[in-house]
Amino acid sequence: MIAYTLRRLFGAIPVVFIGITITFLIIHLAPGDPTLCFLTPTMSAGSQEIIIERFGLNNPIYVQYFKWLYRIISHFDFGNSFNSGRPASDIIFDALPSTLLLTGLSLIFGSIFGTLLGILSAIYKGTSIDRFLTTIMLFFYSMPAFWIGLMLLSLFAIKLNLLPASQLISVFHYQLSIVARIFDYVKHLILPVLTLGLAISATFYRYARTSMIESLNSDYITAAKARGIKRRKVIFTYGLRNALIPLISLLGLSIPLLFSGAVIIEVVFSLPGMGRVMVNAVLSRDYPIILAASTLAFISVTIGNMLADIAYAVADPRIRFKENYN
Amino acid sequence: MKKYLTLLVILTLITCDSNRDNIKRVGKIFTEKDVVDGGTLVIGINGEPETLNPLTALSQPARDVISLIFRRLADINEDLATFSPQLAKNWEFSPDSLSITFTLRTDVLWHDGVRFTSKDVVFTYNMQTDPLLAWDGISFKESITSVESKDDSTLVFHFNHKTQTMLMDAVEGYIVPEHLLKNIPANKMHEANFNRQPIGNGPFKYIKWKTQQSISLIKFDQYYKKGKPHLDRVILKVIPDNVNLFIQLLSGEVDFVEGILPRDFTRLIKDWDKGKIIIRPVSFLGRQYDFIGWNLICPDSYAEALKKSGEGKPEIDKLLKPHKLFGNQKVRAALTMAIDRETITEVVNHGMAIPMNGPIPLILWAYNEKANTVWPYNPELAKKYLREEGWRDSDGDGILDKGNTKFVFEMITNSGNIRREQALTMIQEQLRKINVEMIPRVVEPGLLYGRMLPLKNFDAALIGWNVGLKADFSPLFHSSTLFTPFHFTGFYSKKYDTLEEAAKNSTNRNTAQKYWDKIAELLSTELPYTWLYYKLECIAIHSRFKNIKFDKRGSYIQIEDWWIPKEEHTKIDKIFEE
Repeated sequence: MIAYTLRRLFGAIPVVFIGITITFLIIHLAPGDPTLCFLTPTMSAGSQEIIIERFGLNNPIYVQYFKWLYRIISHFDFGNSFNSGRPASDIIFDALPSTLLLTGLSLIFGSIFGTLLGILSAIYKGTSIDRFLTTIMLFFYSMPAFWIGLMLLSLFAIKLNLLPASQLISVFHYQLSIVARIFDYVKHLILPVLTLGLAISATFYRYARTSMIESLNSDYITAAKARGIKRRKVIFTYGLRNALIPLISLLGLSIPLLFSGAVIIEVVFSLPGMGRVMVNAVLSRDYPIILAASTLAFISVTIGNMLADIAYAVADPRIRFKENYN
Repeated sequence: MKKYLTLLVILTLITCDSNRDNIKRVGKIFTEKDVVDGGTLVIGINGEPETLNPLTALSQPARDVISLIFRRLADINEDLATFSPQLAKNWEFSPDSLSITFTLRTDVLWHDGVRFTSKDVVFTYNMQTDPLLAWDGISFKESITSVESKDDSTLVFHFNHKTQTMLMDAVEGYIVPEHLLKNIPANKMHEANFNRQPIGNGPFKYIKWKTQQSISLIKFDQYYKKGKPHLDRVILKVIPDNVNLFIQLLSGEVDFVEGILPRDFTRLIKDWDKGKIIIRPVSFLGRQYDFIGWNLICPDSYAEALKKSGEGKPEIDKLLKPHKLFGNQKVRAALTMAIDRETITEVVNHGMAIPMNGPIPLILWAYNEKANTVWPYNPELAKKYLREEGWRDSDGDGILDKGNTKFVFEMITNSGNIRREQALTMIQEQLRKINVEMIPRVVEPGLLYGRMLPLKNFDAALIGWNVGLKADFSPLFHSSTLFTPFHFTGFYSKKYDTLEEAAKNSTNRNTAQKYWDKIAELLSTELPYTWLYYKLECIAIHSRFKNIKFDKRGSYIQIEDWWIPKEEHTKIDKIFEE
């Protein structure tokens, strides 16, 4: 198992490396000049050259690439943002905690909620409970998250005035006591986590339902039932365990979301986070930020995939044994 | 399906009915005696400042926040011609009018307690004019040769020639503290820590910046204007989504929002008039206009000329060939007459804009509507003009042609601007009536401003400009700027160059006005642009704030004078008071 993990880990390095190299090439070759965002009609004629030099864009692209790579490897320095002049790593680490908080909570809520409802639906397949849940979940699956977010906002923030409309903390957060501050966080997180969580739960619901139905239709379940084992034990011990395996890979594939953020939710609820950082960077051609954020995204996708595979192997002895057998 | 529909209906009903019950609007008239200090202003801004250093700031949110923290030597008055003292007590022109001596206040402190002196002004000037800094307002300083500090409170600006805007040029730009920035080289200024922890000498002091969330400022107790500001605190909340910004305005989470979409604004006006809301909508002439820029030059010939411009001054007349469609003034005039600008202005702006006919922005003193050549909506005359230029529908396909060329072109605009996208569709429809095929194209802004416009690789573009307070069109139309990014139409005329130089160099306002009138006439006849509309600024402010004043200079100009009556303090005001 350890050898398998290590092998996967080393295999991931070239993937990340190739990924960031391709990103570097794409953004440098994409049309649009980053310096134009920093020019105004009231500047002097030579300003553009000065800005080009300031950003190091006067060098040939391969020189820029190797300098960039060298700085990362030697000092873990991703360069400074063109836009704000701050180190790219500072900007990413500033945005990361709130992204992790929002997406982490949403993923936990969405996966548990969706899976539970999926199992419920599968157990009561064909009944009105199943039909009702399927309709509702189809609604959350197909409606754009920003629309659901806006509806929740209108209801809870304007109509009922129960929850704040945006941001992670109140403007008077630092005037509050410790307990009130935690409560303040919770109040601000309910709507965004609900919005993103519902969207995630819809996916988990569909997988969990299908997988559970398949599992409950298997021969070993029929055999277990025939032996007169209690229905509860049949469903939860034999059915559920096998039904959850496909969900592990779904969870693994959702891990990159934790880092890349959910830009729509962040914009709708004015939350700080990676999604907003990324979109603003792309729009203003802020190369250092785009590159730093995509590096993080590549690493998280690779690790997510790897964890899913490992968890899969742990959960399903067939895979584990097959590995050893080969 | 039924359940699905019911849910949809319920949710829609919820959003439609968003009026709040606890509305209290106080109609009392206040006098100066009633003014009390205290209270918090929460401003909603839809973009985060990139820096709070006046030397490196470019975006509007950054400039707005900076205007609360820093001060200039003098501020321009509402007439956009005279000035009120700020850091300078008074000023005097030398007998030859080639220098201005400023006497500075001696009671001004930086927020860290250090005294402000003339050395700060000299340092600021040196930084502003350092080419490595690439300061945004450098064009204001072009005619200044040096700034000399006589003593701590006396300062002389020397000019190389007389202009009408000498005082404006001297006082442009916020003064920064020398003692904190002197060790930072100009080319490292955009990375300085100061940019996120600014020390100014204005009415509000910076205290905290939560990235992507909010910037908090508090009242500076030792501000040089005694008794001001009245508010204790200003918090700027970053809310990137316009819908959410509007929701927060209605729910009372923010007090003050600029740039409200016209559709939302008209709704606010209705509700305010009916007495249903405590958010007061205010509109005034803003600082933005939209226009169609025609490419007057054949893109291929421009590319060639651009290459040769690097090798020395090219003979532009010989190298540049006119654009196959828009190189002809009569064609541009025809298209201008075929576009119903009044209707477009009304529809896309919900009435919150004014049709525009010439180059000079409506807020500038040089603006004179009578000087513009007006091309009223007249599709029949437009058709006639095109016929006279040889454009006919010879193959009967409904599109004009001339030789092998069909009158088909692309009009581009940037994505993310609903008004412009809407205007594009209306223009397409209107041009079809004179048998001209316009293909609308919405392009990502980076591509549009970063490549297509600077390389003149387009046919026509519907975009807009922000208006500065100084009339200066040389980056847009003067032949000396032909190869720079903002001069994208490729218009050049010796007559224009002479007029603009004469207008800028006149020291007498009446003489200058005559030149500006001639410029307006020339450009509105030549039509490198077809000006569409000048936007009104739409803002909304909670009615508990008193003594508020907004005008074309902006909405942040007098926040130090705003105050809130004690009885109208809200929950947020009270929390901070405790």
